[in-house]
Amino acid sequence: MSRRGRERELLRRTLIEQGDGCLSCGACVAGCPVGDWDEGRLDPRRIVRLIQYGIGDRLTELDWIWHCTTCGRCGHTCPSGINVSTLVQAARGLVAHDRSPGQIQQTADLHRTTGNNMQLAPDQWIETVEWMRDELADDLPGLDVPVDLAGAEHFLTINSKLPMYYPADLQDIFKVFHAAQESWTLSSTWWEGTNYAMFTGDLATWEETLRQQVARVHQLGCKVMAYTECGHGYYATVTGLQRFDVPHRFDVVHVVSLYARWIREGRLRLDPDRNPGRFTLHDPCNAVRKATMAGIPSIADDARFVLRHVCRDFVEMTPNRDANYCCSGGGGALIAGFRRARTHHGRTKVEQVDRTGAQQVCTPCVNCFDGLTNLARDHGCCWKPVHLWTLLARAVVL
Amino acid sequence: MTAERYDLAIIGGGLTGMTAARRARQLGLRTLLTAATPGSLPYTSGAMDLLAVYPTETKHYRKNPWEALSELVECEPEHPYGKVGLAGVQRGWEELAAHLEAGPLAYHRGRQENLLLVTSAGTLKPTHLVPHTMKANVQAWASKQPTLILGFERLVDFSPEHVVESLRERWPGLRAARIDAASLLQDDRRIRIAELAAAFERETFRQRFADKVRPLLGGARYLGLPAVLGFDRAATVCLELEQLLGVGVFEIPMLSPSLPGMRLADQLRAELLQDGLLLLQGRSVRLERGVDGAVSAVVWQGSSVERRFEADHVILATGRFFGGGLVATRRGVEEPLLGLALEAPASRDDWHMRSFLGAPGHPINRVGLRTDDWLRPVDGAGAPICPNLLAAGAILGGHDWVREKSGAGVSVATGYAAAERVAAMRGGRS
Amino acid sequence: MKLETQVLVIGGGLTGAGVLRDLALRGIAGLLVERRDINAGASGANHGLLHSGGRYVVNDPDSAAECVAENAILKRVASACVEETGGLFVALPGDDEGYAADFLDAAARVGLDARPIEVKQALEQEPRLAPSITMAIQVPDASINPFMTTVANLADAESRGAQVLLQTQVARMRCEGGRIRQVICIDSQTGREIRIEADQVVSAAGPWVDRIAAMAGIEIPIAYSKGSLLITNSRLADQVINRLRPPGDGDIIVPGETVTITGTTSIRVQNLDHLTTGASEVDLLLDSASQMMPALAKARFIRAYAGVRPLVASAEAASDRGLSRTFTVFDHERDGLANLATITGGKLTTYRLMAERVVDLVCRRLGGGAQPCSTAQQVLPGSKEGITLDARQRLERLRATPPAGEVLCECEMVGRDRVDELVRKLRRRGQRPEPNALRLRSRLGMGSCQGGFCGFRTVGHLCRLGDLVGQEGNEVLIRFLEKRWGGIRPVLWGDQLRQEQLLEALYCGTLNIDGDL
Repeated sequence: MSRRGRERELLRRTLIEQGDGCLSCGACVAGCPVGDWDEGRLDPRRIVRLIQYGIGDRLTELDWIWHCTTCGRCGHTCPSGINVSTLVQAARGLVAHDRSPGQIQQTADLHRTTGNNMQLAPDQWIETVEWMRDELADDLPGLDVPVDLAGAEHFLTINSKLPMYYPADLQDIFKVFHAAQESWTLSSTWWEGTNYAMFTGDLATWEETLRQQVARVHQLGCKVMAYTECGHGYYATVTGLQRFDVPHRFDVVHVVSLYARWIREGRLRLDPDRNPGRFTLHDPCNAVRKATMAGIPSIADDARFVLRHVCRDFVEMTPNRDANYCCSGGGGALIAGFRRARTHHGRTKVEQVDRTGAQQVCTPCVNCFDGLTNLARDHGCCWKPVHLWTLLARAVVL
Repeated sequence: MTAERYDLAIIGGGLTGMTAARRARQLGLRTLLTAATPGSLPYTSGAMDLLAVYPTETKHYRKNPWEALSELVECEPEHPYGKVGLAGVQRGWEELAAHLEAGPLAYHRGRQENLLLVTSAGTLKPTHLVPHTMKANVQAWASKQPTLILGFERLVDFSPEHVVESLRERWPGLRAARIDAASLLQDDRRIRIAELAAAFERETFRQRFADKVRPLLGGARYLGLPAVLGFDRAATVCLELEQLLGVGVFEIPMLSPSLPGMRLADQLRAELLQDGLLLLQGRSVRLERGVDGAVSAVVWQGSSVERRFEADHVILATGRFFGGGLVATRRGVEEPLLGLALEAPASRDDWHMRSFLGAPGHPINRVGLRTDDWLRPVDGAGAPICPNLLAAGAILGGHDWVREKSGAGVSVATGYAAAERVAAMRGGRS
Repeated sequence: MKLETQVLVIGGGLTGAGVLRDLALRGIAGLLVERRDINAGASGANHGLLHSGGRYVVNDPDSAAECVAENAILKRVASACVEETGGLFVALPGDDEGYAADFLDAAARVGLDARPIEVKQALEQEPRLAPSITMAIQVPDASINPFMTTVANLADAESRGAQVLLQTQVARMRCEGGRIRQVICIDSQTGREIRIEADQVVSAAGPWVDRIAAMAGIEIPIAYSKGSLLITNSRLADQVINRLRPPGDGDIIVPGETVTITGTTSIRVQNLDHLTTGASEVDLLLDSASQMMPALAKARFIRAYAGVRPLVASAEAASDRGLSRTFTVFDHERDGLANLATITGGKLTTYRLMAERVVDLVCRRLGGGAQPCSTAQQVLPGSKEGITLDARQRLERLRATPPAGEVLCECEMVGRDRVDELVRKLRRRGQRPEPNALRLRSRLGMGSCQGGFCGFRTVGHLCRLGDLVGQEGNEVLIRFLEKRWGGIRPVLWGDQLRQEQLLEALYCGTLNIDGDL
């Protein structure tokens, strides 16, 4: 048998063993945002059936595994602990990288070769940072935005969409770190706060980009990697350190937990009236549900704690926390190319947000932010997503 | 790996565990709750059973559950109800009933009599506490007034004709009809229970629904629907539909998924979280025990971290086979956390009856942990296996909740009692 | 009611169906009666194995030779019912080496294509095989679906004018002057009598042939050998796996579309009804089969069932396994009854040959130049070159035409449109549509939940169609649940026990269907 054949057989066997406990109860179908897609009429339960048929290795040929946002809700509700999103992830790993749909693999490759998804050279990146800093410095005397500061306590990662598309968000982040008088630094290289290789099951690239970033943190001697508001990047980093057995001399903390700590320590004066209107909170799958399932810290409690300090009217979505619905953009879905499908899959999410009556959805994840923005636009909703750093920046009293 | 200290660790996040947690917090105990799986509460009908059949050998239906309970407690001191005692059961049940009556699901209870619910098979289910959305179900059956049972095209989990055929001889005024949900939803994909529920929570949908159903009502005084009337707002949805249609509206319990069961689980869990309870989900735990056999810590296994919680007492509320509280191999039945082999019929041929549904029930359903009066699991000689560990809920032996129709009652009564016993064991300690 | 026919066939298993079709192809429109539904006997309770003959080469070469020939024929004429899985004979340390040595010679003598392969290769093909196997021989075993095969045979016969009466039991016979004059049957749904007059009567009633013969005053010595089999939840092997040693218990593992079937035992029984598989039999089977495939010891099983092999008694055989597995045609003219023939024994693989032999006899008696047998050439409806039961083909077909309408059986993806089609067919036959009848004709109820969920959905649907009225819905549902229970009860541990606990909780808890309210 060829190596490929052995890989397939291993996948098949693993899938069968994992799926053997399925009781056909349908709990997974009830919560799956992709569970009613026409083509092939597949849903998580049927995926498990295919696996039991002995043709699980053929999952690699189905579009469904790319429609799936790997949100993990199926695994969360399954009484037998079967996590179809994990099985999907395994199947994705068997798809030849040049045959994965959309731009996911290309993005991962760019990250590996240039240090960030957007192919920004260090000077371009620094230029953007300095430009945003200079604008902000007019209002904030004494503002310092360290770059490559050796010995700083916190190494802050940034999603490259920010310098490319949302540079103003950088200012919010600078303002908040300034207000907290934190010891921190950006980096001119390996600063990317994502890991798209996880989406295509490209373990080699996932590991390589992780190791490069770890090496950079070590070079700067930081004690904590403060992970930007991102779900999958945080998840990929914390689980990747364990999975690939990467030695590291720092802790990884999601930036939301850092905000919470600042508030508890009284380092931020906040005026919640500066964020009027009704808010709700979207729990990013990777930083809440999947974090819990992987046994790493979830941001659910801290996100709520912080949100309650920056606004007055906060209404929970139902369901929430570990039972929340995916934003529709997870698992690489934003750039997988199934645009129409994604809009359709997001209906459950849209209804969920609509029910709260909120005007703004606090969304501590860059991909979720984009996912929800698309949904709001495509479904004509009157709410919009907002990052927690933006709410903090507005509420902070200096 | 840091250690955190708790007075009480409850293992199992189902009805038993959550009842124990609520009582424990009322008693001022610093409590944590672990839940490895979603458990069985999401699969229940939403109605809560106290006791309806006793003895199971004769399938004797008991209209008055308290009367049956008194008898049971006297005849079977080893039954979980016997262990708790009639007064204990009453206290625990009363607390829960009052709590659920006052909550968003607006439960309604049967007091001295069991209530009869019409099910999606057109059978009658005796129970004791029903959510508001099923209150009119009980009334409609009791009054036999003209009633329309409505189903949705393409929703295969509910057949109004099945309901009506089974009951129409005793209820001549019962009729069945179906409407096309797809046109109402204005979306043609698969019709799933979750979609319908989300739709019912929208006012615009309810209006469209009412417009479509009104002409079908005829002289019906009640409208029965599959249990899809929303998520946490189902009681309100039900009231609003009643206003729109001018008839009593009710939900009918379904197999799986069962939204009313999920609503109850979500409410209880949300309340505990709101109250500050530490809830550890999604992964199993293991117990660390000292030389005296006492549990010293509960360890929660993450994939990259372990979290260790020291606890003075532990309540094991892990349920039976479905949730993994008990495990059956070809060789026998085991309790995995303590590593106990349980007493079960020696041959698997004797685990189950030859009939699936016949009386008195399957012997394996009575296999479970035997306890002392403190609800601590005991060994063959009657000595507690673990001085600071109690067991509650379906994991206990000596009962068959499925045939007695006592599932919720056993969970609640023993969960409540276990928390009280822990507090008593601690004496004055806070 | 009175019916006349040239040939009456008794027994709706694969043999009877094969006889009816063979007759029809030779221009004789027969009438078949079956007291229950199709494949109610051994045809519905076997391994689903299309033997290469390997199992018999050493000890029963006649049987082996038959299998070699029929294996090739059925792969062609019943291709849509067959999955060409291939098979392996594997030896474990301690197995009789002499047997292994004889195997290849014996195979050559009967023309069986048996090729030894390296153990390493066998393990690559079937990674779940025990790593300690010492020898492996490749043979052309295959997997066959006996329900599809019976249905195809009957359909072909009916399209040529034959008639099939299910739920019709032979009650007694009137014989006179050395012939059967009338066979009196009872329609078990209505209780009405049906009197059948036939020129010739063929009894293909499997292990019940002695009862049928007794009605005509003839004694046939039959021994009943029960064999139990277990079905797993998932497909653990892609080929048939056999033990390379003298035939014993638990030495065959057969892939059956989405599952794996493990068997079998050989236990004498006196009673043909209420066959059960006890825990010790299950353990015996599993302990033995898991020697070849350790994964079986941890696998989830969804069902156990037992079938009875009719063995034509022989004084010389030391054990039942020593009795020849070849078949016997009884020409009862020797017993003084000129128009009765009995065909019994044999196996699934040789059904066509069995039918051919007895139909040859019948045609000789009928005289008048009937055509020769063509069942070895004429392809069954639905089968043609390239169409097989391969799982991948199934996926392709599923993707090309996904079930229209709602899915009633999630485990096996049986849609409402398919069920409606089968309901129409059953109505035409005068048979009441209910879940069990549908299960025999599709795969509804054959998956992990064994009909637990789809039984309920199907009854709901049948109530809607009006096929079940009043209390019939729940009566049928309860009967269906009880019937499936018999097969599930012997494998209730691990995840299958959890499955049943869930279903019992739903049926007795949520629905209170066990109550009398």
